[in-house]
Amino acid sequence: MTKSLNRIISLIKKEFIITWQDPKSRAMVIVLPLIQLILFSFAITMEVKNINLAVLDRSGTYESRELISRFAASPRFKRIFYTENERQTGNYLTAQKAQMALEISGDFAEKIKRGQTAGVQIITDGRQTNSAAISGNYAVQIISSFSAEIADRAGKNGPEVEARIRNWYNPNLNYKWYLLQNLVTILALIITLLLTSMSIARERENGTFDQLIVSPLNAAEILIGKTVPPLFIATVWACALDAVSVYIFKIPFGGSFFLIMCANLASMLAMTGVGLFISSISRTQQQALFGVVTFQMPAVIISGFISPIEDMPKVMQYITYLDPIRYALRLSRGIFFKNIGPADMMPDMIPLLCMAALTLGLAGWTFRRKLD
Amino acid sequence: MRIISALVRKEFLQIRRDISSIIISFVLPVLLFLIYMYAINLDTARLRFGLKIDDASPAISSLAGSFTHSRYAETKIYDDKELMYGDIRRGKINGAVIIPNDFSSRLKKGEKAGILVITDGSNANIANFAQSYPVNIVNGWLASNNTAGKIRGPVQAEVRTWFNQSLNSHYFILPASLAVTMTLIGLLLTALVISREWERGTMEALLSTRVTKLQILMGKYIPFFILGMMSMAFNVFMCIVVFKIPFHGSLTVFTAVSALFLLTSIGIGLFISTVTKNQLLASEAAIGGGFLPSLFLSGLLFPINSMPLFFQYFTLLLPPGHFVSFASSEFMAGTVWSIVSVSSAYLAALSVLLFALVYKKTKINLD
Repeated sequence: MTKSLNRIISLIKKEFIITWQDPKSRAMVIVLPLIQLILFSFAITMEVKNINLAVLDRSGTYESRELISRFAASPRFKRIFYTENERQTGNYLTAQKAQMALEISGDFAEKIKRGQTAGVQIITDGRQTNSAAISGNYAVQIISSFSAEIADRAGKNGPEVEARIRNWYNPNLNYKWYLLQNLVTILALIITLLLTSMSIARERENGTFDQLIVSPLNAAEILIGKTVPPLFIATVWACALDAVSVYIFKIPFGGSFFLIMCANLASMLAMTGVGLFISSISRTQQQALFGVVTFQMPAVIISGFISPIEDMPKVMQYITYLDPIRYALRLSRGIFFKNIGPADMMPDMIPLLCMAALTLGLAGWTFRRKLD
Repeated sequence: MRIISALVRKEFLQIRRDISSIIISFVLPVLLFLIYMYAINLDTARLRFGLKIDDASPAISSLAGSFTHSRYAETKIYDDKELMYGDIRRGKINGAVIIPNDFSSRLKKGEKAGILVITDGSNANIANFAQSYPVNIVNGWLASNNTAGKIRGPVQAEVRTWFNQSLNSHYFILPASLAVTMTLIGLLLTALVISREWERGTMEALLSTRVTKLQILMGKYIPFFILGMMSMAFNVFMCIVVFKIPFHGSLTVFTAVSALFLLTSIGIGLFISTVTKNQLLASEAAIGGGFLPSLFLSGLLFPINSMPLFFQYFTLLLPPGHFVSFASSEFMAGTVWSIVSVSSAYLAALSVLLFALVYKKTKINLD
C-alpha cells in the first residue's frame, strides 16, 4: 500500500515538474487566462450602445426636432448625422457609418396637430441582425414614450397596464456580473483541457508512454498520477479567478466558499476526465489538439452562456445534457447569486461526477489494454 | 522550385498519413454549422414563465390563455406563491408574473393596473428577455380584449430592416461564423507543423541539406493554404447550397478576401509554431489565444460598436473582426467597396507582416 502510494507520489511529482518547469508554459497557464478575463470583461457587452443615427428630417418643425432630441439625449445613441435625401441616408447605412436611420415625413407636425397618427420610419441594418433587432426596439420605445407624452398633453389615454419589474439576484441586470461569472468558469475549464489533453498523447508520441507501462505502476496508479496534478492546478486556479471576480471586479458573492470549492472540484474533475480521454485515444499531439478543439468549441457554444438552452430545439436541448460546461455554469451561477444549498446542487453535481467516472474509467481502460 | 514542390509533396504525404488534418478541415465545419444553425438564436427566445393570478374576476381567464398560448412563453400556472419562487431559485422557470386581485377592477375604472414581474437575474441574458415578454403579452391581451379599445398613439413607429428583411439571425451568423471557423482551421493546421519538426529532430535533418529558409517556409505555406482554401470553398458551399443563405455578393471578391484572411491565420499559426519549437506550448497558445478571442471579439456574438472605444480599436487589429464585417456585408448587401477595400488592405498588410515575422523568427542554425 505504501509502496503504491510512493509510486503515485513520484508520478505526481513528475507531472507537476513537467507542467511547471518551463516558464513559457507557466505563463501560458496563468497569464493568458488572466489577460483574457480582463480583456473580455471590459470589452464585451450584450447591450447595444454607441449607435450612430442618420436623420432625414423632412418636416423641420419644432415637433420633429423635439423627437430627434429624444434620440440625441438617449445614452444608447452616439452621433447624429443629418442627411438631405434618401440616397445620402442609404449611403450612411450601406457603408456602416450609421447603424440606424430615422425618416420623418413632411406632414409630421400637421398630422399631430390635427390629432391624426403621424408615421415615423426607422431603418435598421440587418447585416448585424442581433443589434438591429435590439436597437430597433430602443427606437420604438423612444417613439412610443414621445407619443404617450403628446397624448397626455392632449388628454386622451386609454387604460394602461404598468409592470413593476424585479430582477432577483441581479437587480439592475448588470451584464458584467453575468459575463464574469461565466467567463471564470469557461476559462478554468479550458485550462483544464489544455493541461490534460496533451499529457498522454505527448508521452505516446515521444515514446515515454511505453516506459510508463513497463514501470511497476498499474493502470489505476497511472490514472491517479495523471489526474491529480492538473485537477489540483485547475481547481486552485478556478478559485483564484473566482476571488479576482469577487474582490477586484466586485461581483456580489452570496454563497458559501466551501460549496463553490466543491462545485469547482466536480467541474474540473469532469473536464480532466474529458481531457485525459481525448489524450488517451490520440496517437499524436496533433490529434489531441484537434480533439480538444472539436470538443471545446461546440461545448462552449451550446453551454447556455451565449444562447439560452430553453430556446433550442428539443434534440439540441438533449445534446446539452452531455455538455459538462452546462452543469458547471449552472452550479457556479446558482452558488454565486442564489446561494443554493447542497440539495439544489445535486441535479448538476451528479451528471458531472458521472461524466468524470465514465471518462476517467475509459482513459484508465486504455492504459490497462496496453498493459496486457 | 523543384525543392519547394518536393517539400510540398512531403507535407501532403504527411497530411494523408494522419487524416486528422482532413477531418478538422471538413468535418469540424459541418459540426459547427449545425450548432450555429440550430443552437444559436440571438433574436427571440422561448422562455419558461410561472403565472399566479390573484384576481378572481372571470374577465381574467382569457389572460391566462394569452400566456399559455404565446409563441414565446411556456407558462405554468401556480397557486402557491412559495412554490413558484422556489422554482425560480431552482432554475425551473426563468421568470414569474403575479396578477394582483384589483387588476380587473382597476382596468374597468380606467386606472393604471399593475402587474408584478420577477425574473431570474442570475442569468442576465435571459432576464433581459424575461422582463419584457410579460408586459408585451399583457398589452396584447389588453388591446384585443378591452371594450374601450386601444387608442392609436399620435406618433407611430414603423421599423424596416435593410439587407435582411425578416431579421433572420442565421443570415448573419452563418457567414460571420466563417471567421471563427477559418481562424481555427488556419491556426490549428499550422500551429504544430514547425514545432513538430523541431521536437522530432527532422528540422535538423532538413537544415543539413541545401534547402533555404524561404524554401522551407514556402513548403509550409503552400500546402496548408491549398487545404485551407479547399475547406473555405466547402464552407461557403455549405452556407449557400445546404443551408440556403442568400448570397448577394461576388464570388470572386469573396474568394480574394478569404484568401487574404486565410493567409493571416496561417501566418499566426506558423508564427506560434516557429517561436515555441515545442508542440505542447504551441497547442496551448493556439487553443488559448485562438478560439476565445475570435469568438468573442470578432463581432459575431457581441457587437463591436458597443465596446468602449479603446477595445473597438483593439478589435481592428484582429483579422476575424474584419472578416465578420466583410462576410456579412458581402452575403447580405453585395459588394460594398468601402468595406472591401479597408478589410482587404489591412489583411494583406498583416499577412505580409506576419510572413516577415515568421521569416525572421525561423532559425536555420542550431542554437
